[in-house]
Order: sequence, then structure tokens, then C-alpha cells
Amino acid sequence: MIELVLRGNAEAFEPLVTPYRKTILSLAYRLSRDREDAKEISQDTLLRAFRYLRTYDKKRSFKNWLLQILVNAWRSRQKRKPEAESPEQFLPRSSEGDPEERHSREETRTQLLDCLDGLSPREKEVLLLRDIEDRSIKETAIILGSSPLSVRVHLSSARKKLKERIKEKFPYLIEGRR
Amino acid sequence: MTCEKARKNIPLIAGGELPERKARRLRRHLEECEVCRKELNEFRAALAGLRNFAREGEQDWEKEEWENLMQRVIAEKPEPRGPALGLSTRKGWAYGFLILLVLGLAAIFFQTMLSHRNSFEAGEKITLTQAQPSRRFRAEDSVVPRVEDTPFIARAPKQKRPRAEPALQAALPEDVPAQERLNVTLISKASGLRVHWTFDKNFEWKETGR
Repeated sequence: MIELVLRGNAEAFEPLVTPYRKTILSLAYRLSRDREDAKEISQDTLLRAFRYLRTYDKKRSFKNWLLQILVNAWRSRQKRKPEAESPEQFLPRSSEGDPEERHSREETRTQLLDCLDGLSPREKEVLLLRDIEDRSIKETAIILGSSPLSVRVHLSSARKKLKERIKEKFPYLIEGRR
Repeated sequence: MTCEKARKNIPLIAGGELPERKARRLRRHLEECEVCRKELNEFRAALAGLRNFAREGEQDWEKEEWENLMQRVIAEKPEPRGPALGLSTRKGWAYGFLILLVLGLAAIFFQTMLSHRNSFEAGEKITLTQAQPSRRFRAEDSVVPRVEDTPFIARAPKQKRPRAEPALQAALPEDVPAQERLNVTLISKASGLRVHWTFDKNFEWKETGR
């Protein structure tokens, strides 16, 4: 597929990135916590990926390459843009199940993601890549351009902070109740 | 393992990132310590909760939004080479610095080589001059080696020998026989400085210059 795009068949880019469209948008949203920002970061990621596809090393995972571009796009955006005053959140899309329960779960999800706001940018990146995106320590280190040791250190401190916040806000999650 | 040390490692063992050797020691501690075991369970529950809720709420694009985005993307022209990861600037600086370093080292090396060559060319030439035989000895009695027989002689210009003689005579007492003298003249090409060494039989020397 990559070869097709490189040979000039630009249409082949869409099926190449479609499997990662949710991952890209979700990670961008979890990082930025703002719907519009998330879309712009994702758009920037895909534009850069298409523009510089020739530099992609085929020995690497394509998903990790995309995630690396995304993290860099987020970092660049953070430098340019000051803290958002009132982040715009994604509204629940699912229409399955009891609306009240759905609303309650959506509320919990939002508050859980709010717990990430207390983390430093690096802790947030490490935690999201390792614990949500299931990247290994080595992959996370490559994506973030740091060392596995640094990833472990940030991961440990991020989990400590997160656990304390969850314990405080959602004690029932810690006790195993829903 | 102490509880304090165990607490440091619990966040990592909760996600399975602790190296096996440390994990084994921590597991032994956890078997005995209920407080640390509870702490580990809390970490696991917190992580599981975060994962479940976060994955449930995975975002997706509206169909139209995605199509528009793809149209915009493929309208772009792919670059032959470029900074997709935002790293090429740093790499560029690194390569530039490396090239400068190599050029600098090469310049130092060539300069050193050149200065060695110059110092050889403009350096002092050692001339060994034969002392005049003493009046008490005949020339044929002298055991001073002939100039041509001495392997380390570079050059012995004839016209310069008479100029060195007054200095030689001043250096050693006149009664020292010629066969016990050895005269060496160093002439600097660069400055024209001449240094005369006159050695006696014990190779003790005196230096005169002009």
C-alpha cells in the first residue's frame, strides 16, 4: 500500500490510514482534551504522514510511526497555543442501552480523563501510550524520542498520581464496584 | 525487601514492566505483606478502570469529515525527503557539527605536518669542521677523522670554515692538541645564527656564538 502511494497513487493513502483513524483521533483528544484541537492535531498528523511517507522506515511499525508524528504535532501545537480556556468535549455517540446509564458512564469517562490533567505532559504521553494504546516500554520510548529508563520513571510517577486521584474521586472503582 | 522499596516498584509491577529479578523479590515481599498487596490491588483496579472507560469512549470521525480530510490530504504533494518527525533539524545540526569537527581536525593535522616539514627545511644544519693541527703535532699524526669519513656530516662549506676558527681558538686553551678537539658549527637558515661547539677529549664543550 505504501509503495502504491509512493508510486503516485495518492488514493491508496486512505485505505492505508483508515485502520488507525479512531486511534489517531482518540489519542489526540486524550492528549489535548479539546475536540477541535484533537481534529486539528489528527489532520496535521495525516498531512505530515502523507507528505513525508517517503521517509518512513519500512522496518518500523506504521502505527508507531503515525503515533510519533501525532505526539510531535501535539507538542508543536502546545508550544504555539496557550492553555485552552474551556475545552470542547466530544459528545457521546453511542445510542445503545439505558440513556441514564449511558450518561453516567460518559460522565465518569470525562472525569477519569480529567484526572490526567494533573499529570505533566510527559507523564501524560507515557501513560496514554503505555496504558491505553498498549505500546511496550521500548515502543513508547521510540515514539517519544526518549529512553526506556525515562519512560519507566515517568510511567511510575504518572500511575502513582493517577491512582491517588482515582481513589479520591472514584473509590468504587478501586474497590472493584461499578 | 522493605515496604518502602516495595512501594517504589509497585506502580511498575502493576503493569508488568518490572524486570524479572526485581519482580521476583517484590512478589516474595507481597506474599508476606498485606499492606503492600492491597496497594498493588489498588493500582491494578485504577489502571483497569481507566483502560475500560477510555477504550469505551474511543472517538471516530463523521463520514463526511473523514472524506473531506482525505481529499485535503491527498491534494498535498509528497516531499522527497523531509522532517516528518520533527527530528531532521536536530539531525542537521548534528551532522553539521560533525563535519566541522572533522574539517577542524584535518586542518590541525595538515598544519602540524606542514610545520614539521618547514622546521626540517629551515632547521639548523650541523657541520663538522676539522680543527687546525697543533703546532706541536704534524698533520699526519692527527687522529681526528676526516670530514668525508664521518657519516653524520650534512655539509661542510669551505668558505665558512675560516670564520669559525677564531671562536674555536677562544673556546679551548691553545695547548690542547688538534686530535683532542672536535668542532661543531650549527647554522640557522632562518636567522643566520651560528653556534660553534668545541669539544675536548672528554667531550666537555664550550659554546660561542656570533
